[in-house]
Amino acid sequence: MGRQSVQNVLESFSDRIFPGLSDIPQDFSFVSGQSDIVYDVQSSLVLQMSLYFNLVYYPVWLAIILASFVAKHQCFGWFSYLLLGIGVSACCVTEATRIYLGMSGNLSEQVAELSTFWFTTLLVQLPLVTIILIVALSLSQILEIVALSISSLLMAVQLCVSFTTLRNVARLRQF
Amino acid sequence: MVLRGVYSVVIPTRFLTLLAHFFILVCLLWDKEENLRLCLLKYVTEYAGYFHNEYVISLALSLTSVAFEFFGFLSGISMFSELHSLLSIVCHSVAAFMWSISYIERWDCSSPYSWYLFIFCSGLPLTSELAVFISFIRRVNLR
Repeated sequence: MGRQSVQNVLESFSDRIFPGLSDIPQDFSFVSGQSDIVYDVQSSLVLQMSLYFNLVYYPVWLAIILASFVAKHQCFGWFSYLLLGIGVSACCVTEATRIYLGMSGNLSEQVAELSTFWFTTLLVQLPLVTIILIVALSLSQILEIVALSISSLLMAVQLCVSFTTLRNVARLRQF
Repeated sequence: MVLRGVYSVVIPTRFLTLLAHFFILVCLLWDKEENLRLCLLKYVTEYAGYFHNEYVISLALSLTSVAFEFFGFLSGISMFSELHSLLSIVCHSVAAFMWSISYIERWDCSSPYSWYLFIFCSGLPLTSELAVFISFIRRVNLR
């Protein structure tokens, strides 16, 4: 019931960006009655592994980011600190939703979830992580730099692999 | 996708301990001037180069062996052998703790603790990893 409403929201969002995307069938009912159709599973192992390890790494990353944010208290005026706080909290929330969308989209081979995952990673998470990384580099906070570098490495792998996975899944469902 | 049995615990733990060891080594290498300052001030200049080299070389060797083991783990070659994973978890968590304690407690650089940490906590999993690699290559060739 909850998954269905998540999928409805994602379909309306993806349809706005790619008109006609919601015409793609979301289940495999088009193969009923055609017994000679054979299709490969298009879930990507590399994507699933990177998302699983990202999920395992998430509590560590969260603790480091929050501790480094609290440690930056003396370095900024109140307005810059507030903006950085908004960025950090948006980053934390987006990371959790992104990992969930990626895992469920990859396992159930849904175009809407995978495309939302790809766009959220590219357009929301990547700029936020870049900004926090630049701030950490300018303050030479090594712990945060290394933690964010590992997170961006995982994100880079996910971006490259999920692009081809998304293309394969959309091709699979295009009948 | 749920990992069955003991692997649901072993694989995330091994990933996190490898990552922690890698993390602390990178942090220590990044800040090497800061960490060596106390040591270098205490000893005369002729020993300073020796301690600097000892620090950098032992950390770099540990980092290379951890990176090699990480590659073996992520490529799946040694991901599913329980004994090697257990050894790796124990060694790398001990190493991560020891390096962190040596940083916080500011251990004296005249004792060669970095070599002991390299041999017992990075060298041992590395040899075990190489053994798993060799058995994997043998299995692939026999088929």
